[in-house]
Amino acid sequence: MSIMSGKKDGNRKDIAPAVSKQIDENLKRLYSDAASEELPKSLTDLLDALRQQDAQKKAGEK
Amino acid sequence: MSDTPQEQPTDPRDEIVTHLPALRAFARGLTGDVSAADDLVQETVLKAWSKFSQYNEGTNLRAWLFTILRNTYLSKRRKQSREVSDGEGVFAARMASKPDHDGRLALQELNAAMKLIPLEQREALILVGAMGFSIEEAAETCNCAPGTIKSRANRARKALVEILHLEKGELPDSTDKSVAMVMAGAPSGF
Repeated sequence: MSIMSGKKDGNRKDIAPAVSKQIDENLKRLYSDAASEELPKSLTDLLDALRQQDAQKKAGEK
Repeated sequence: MSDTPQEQPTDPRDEIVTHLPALRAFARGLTGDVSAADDLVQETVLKAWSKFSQYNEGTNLRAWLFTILRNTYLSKRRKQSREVSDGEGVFAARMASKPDHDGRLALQELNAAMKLIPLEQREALILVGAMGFSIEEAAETCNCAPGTIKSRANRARKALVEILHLEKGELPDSTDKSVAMVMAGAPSGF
């Protein structure tokens, strides 16, 4: 392993809590789109199809 | 905790939809790509559906689903030949980005930087840092010890600091120089 950035080990310097918080907040922003967007139709269709399949199976068992 | 869970026995099949937004977010974090992420979520739903008989009701459905997504991604990734970060990825990330006055980073650059981080560190940071998982829940999802999650997430943050020059606060004066350094430092196979 090569020595990164001239320091002995990454462990030595911990990043400042403020920086760590900044990173987390930006990551939340980065992924919040996906979490707040409406689900794509392909996904909701898939769920519907699976439910229907189950329902049919159940009906068939009876 | 009683062993007769009487309060509305929620069917995980009904509950799954409430976890899809978070699954999509996690998938984007893993793949770094919107459409690949949605493919991954689709596969996850299909797998989950076929495995619901193995799901223990009352256990953490979210972690269970995330684990399926993660395993699906890992096996896909294994199939593809080793996907490695290239000089261009480093280049894109290094074009970064001092945070603006509000500490906001350019998200594209953050996304590019995330792709350079080893998967296990990346996923730990996404779960704990972005998705609001507790350390324990993330550990359950990734099938490892809580301490491992903690240190992986921290290593990921450190890597981002390095890649994006966050602590130095500013970019080297000459971008060309820094890129040249990156290129020179990157073994060709990297």
